[in-house]
Amino acid sequence: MKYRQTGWIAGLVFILALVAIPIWYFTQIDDTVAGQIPDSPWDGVPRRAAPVDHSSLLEGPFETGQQVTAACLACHEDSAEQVIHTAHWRWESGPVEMEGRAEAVSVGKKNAINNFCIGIQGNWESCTSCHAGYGWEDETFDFENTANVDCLACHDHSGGYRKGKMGLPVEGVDLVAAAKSVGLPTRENCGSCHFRGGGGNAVKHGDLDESLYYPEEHVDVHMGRYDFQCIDCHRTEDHVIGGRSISVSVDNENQIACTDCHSPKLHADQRINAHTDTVACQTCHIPEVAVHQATKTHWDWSTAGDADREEDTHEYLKIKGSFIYEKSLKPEFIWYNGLAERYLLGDPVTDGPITPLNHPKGDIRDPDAKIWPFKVHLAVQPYDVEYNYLMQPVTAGQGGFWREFDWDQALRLGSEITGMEYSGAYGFASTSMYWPQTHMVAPKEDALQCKSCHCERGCIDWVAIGYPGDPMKWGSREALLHHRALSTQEAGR
Amino acid sequence: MKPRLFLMLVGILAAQTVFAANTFHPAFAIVDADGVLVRESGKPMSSMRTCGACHDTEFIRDSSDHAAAGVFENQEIPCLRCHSDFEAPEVWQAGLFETDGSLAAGVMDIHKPMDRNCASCHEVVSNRLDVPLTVDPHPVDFSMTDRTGQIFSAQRISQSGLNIKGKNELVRPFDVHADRVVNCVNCHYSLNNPVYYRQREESRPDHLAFEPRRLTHADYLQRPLHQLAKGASRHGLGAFESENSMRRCESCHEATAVHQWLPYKRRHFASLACESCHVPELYGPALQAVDWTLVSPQGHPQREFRDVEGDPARADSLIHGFRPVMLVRKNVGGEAKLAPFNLVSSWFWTAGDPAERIPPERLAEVLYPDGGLHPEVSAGLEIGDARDVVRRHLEAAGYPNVQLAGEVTPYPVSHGVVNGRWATRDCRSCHGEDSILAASFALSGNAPGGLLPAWAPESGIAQTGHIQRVNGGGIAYLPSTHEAGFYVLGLDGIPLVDLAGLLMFFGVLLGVSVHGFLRFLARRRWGSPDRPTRPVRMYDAYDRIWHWLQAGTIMMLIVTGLIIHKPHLFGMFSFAYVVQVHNVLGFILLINAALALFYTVASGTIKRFFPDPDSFFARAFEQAMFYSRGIFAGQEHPIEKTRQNRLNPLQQVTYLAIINILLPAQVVTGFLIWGMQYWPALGEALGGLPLLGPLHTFLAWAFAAFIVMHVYLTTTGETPLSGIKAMVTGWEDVEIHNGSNPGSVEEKAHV
Repeated sequence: MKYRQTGWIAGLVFILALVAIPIWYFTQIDDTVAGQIPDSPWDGVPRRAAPVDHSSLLEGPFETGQQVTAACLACHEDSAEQVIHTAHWRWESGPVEMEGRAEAVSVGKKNAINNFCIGIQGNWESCTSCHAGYGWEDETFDFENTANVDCLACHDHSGGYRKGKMGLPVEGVDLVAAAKSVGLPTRENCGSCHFRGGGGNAVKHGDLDESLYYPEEHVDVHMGRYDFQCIDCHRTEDHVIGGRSISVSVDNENQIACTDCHSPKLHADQRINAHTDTVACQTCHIPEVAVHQATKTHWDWSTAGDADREEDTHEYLKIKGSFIYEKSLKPEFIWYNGLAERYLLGDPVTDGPITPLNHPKGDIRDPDAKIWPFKVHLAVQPYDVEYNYLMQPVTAGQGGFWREFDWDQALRLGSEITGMEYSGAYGFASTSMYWPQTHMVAPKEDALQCKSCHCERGCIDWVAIGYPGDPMKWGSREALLHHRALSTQEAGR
Repeated sequence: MKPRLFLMLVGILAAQTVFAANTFHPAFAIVDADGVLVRESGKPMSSMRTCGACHDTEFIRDSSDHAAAGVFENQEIPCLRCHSDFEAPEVWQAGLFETDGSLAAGVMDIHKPMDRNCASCHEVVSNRLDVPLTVDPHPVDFSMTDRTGQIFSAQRISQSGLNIKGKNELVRPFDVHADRVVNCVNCHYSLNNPVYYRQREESRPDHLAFEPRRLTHADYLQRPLHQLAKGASRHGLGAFESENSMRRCESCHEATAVHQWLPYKRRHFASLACESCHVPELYGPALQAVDWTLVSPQGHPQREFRDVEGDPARADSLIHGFRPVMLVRKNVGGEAKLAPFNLVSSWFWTAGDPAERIPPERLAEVLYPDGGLHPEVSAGLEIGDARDVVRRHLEAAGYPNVQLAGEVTPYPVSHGVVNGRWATRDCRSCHGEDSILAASFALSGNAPGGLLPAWAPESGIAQTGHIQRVNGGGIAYLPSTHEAGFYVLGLDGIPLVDLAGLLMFFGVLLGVSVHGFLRFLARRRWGSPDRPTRPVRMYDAYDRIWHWLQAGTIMMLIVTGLIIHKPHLFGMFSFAYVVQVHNVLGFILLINAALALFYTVASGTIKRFFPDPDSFFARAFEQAMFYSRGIFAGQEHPIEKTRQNRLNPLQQVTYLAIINILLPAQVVTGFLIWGMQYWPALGEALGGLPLLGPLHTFLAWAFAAFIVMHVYLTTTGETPLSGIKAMVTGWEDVEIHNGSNPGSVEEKAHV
């Protein structure tokens, strides 16, 4: 009897299998587009443990920032040692080999020149208010002294922590409250410096401004719709924060890419996926920047010092000169392979009309280059007419231009600090800086459309970026190279 | 120097936005109709002479669709209207020319027709992404948009300036082709343009896929046909040779390469135009009715827009968007497919015999004798008999036999196309009671004079439905796929077939219920007989597997078939999935039946199914008597069930019918329905889906009824469950008849 029972159960299983297996097999439907790689972006987003409440761990009292740091280090013993090797502390890179330069260079905010406030040398007191440390007053600052690391700049959650000259806490900051509040860095921590680069809100980057503290989703889909914090993408290990900027950095290490989380071929549309080898994600997905707050696109130092001219933060300031700000800025499209040239102190001003300080590298023939969106910032800034190089003036510092309105003196003081020769004959040169745009990613329903670029007559100057014409009709760069259609074309610049 | 430097920087930036003019077209002399330079004669430009210096303008004019349709007032065709953005002035001012007499740079750019050129008449076409698209709230002509709601624009609906309900969710472009930089002339090309030229199918030799001998560009530019490729649209222009000449969707698209998700894709492609699913809804203001019986002083009719909230006469009311109605469109080559249309009803006056339309201008003269509305008509509007007044006045004005007439005109829809993501993909959109293929389509908010409009005879599109009154005084069109010659699963079942099937099913159910109840009563009265039984190895393993596999698939086929037949009653099931499961089950059934046939034939057991002709009638009668009488009295079965002889004569004849008629018929009809996508000719030859579908349905009901009977009869064995148990375990307790050989060694050995 037992045999019979197991027998019919086996038969039942057999019959069910005969029915179920074909049904399962023939109802598999694959509806993905050819070449499409499915996207699972949440796999790339770090999951973090809940923060530890420090309110009962740090009692104070604290008189100085350094005392808070010491209290932090009592438990987090390695942290300061980690921080003093990072870019946020050193403001320069390790030595990097650069194409066309004999010696490896160490570049960073510490010694680079830009075309906003020009440079920190001689102006440390004000510039270092954004340094992740305390007391950087002049060139003698000790970068090995861990006692001066500022933990609160990045970890304060009280909202009341403010840094002033030399990065010291300003008068009246409640250090005990700040210390008790600590947690993982938020948009407020990062934004207090990075949203205000160039001397004020929205000035510098174009894609970073204070609207990102509480962004609407149409301003930035990650931070607005999903409440991303900066460190969700700028992943941080041992205080080394992911990400870099070609305004201060010349290597291609420590990059962040959309493809860290997103598949490069995630579109349900072959045509769009065909773009992703040539066009950066950002190009279509950041249709405009400076969505709410205008960003500076032109800065003319040569008009500064005019006491008679009416002042307006967005048009003219006596200490800084005249500006143009643009809101809802449409980025410019430039080939970019992740690297950029870098103008270093002492380099000659070019013969052309504009001296680029950090022109992105890459062109249509460079397989690593993609078309990227850039904010281009043009400026007119002082240079030595005799030696034909850009000068580092003292502006905010003692005897600087902002106090004396005397270019000659400001440049002379600057030259003494940088050790560069100054002939006494100065002029103003046009310079450009390039800011790759990668924040303010719009929701996909606001992304660029085909006709944003492929319009009937010239939305994009295809010839200027190296194509014989609209690649929709002339073919992709691979096809053009294959057909030798690019051989007589001037590569894009 | 400093400011100049700065300005230079700004200038360099500005120069990056380049709008290249067409530098290819050479300079030319602008002359009047006498061939004299216009700047000397002061007369208007003659396109025929000016452009005719190089192009064969007479050839162009004679081939022009637009000229043939009477778009141009005279023999002068205005080339610039389509080939430039420059509007030719009556008098050409000296400032337009350089000192040497040539046209000043930048005055006139000659180019191929741009979308904006087409849009200047056909509306609403927009290539702008940055300027929100709007419409004229009071259109006076009858453009593409007015007639159908089609808007040809790359702009996302959500970013348009139109007042569209729920538009924030509509983050797609109005038209995917516009979005993908396909311009009007890319489809509506000149028929002899060597880039687009396609040999007519009829004249193409079988061995030739591409005709390499083409017009040179020089020949083409001299004599470009201005007959443009066009679809089957009715622009009131009458039939053209170019009708249907446009590259259809299939000419550019390889539909079979995608649509992996779509079951029966070839069948769908054979019955549905691409637009049916890919123009799911239209969001331009589309006309529903035009009333020419009461016109404005300019002779303009009253308009009524479709699916709007607010004033239906204004194009900028809140637009709901509408789903076009599906009608049969005949393509060149004879294919008839369902395709989307808008239906516009119009009301007008006719006079005379045969009746002819009274022109609106004449009507306006009667309505507005002194510039103002006739006071009697005005009073008539108050009390609602204005049309009677108008009729009287028209007759007084000399029109004989004035009649009110109504007409419904179908306008095809082929713009407003969406990509797969936005297309109609839900099977139940069409398959089921709520099918969009059978949805009532509003024709008019009212019926002037209580009249039902007639189908416009010259539309070329067949009426395959009914024009009828709806609640609230309006008129609607009720389409019928059945009348259009289709059989849509889930929609087009024949009620009579279902009724017959239901009667059969429940009749059998009632019969066995009564029989079973009587057996129950009899057993209570007389008790159950206690007869000796012996276990018999009745069914071996293959018999049982074969049987239960068949039983399981048939029952699942009935259930899935019912879901396919009435999908709206089983909302929780995915239609496509159930269809696929049904197909797989059908093939399992087919294979199982074939294997069983092979087995029974090969093993010779097939003989069990054949009744013994000599004794059949007597034994069948005996068996029938047992079921109708003996079973109640607790008599023993008339025939002892043995392994070799396990079917009684009634079973034999029933199974013969099922195996030879019902099952093959059901398998064949099912196979043909499935095969409609592979060998449509085969199915069509046997009556097509409209016959196969209902037949398959009816046979399914027969199967359902058989199963009820079959299951009931299994309870008539020794005990109610002994039959089923036997089919599970293979062993059955069989009553021992007198004279039989109890405990046959031979049979027992079959373990």
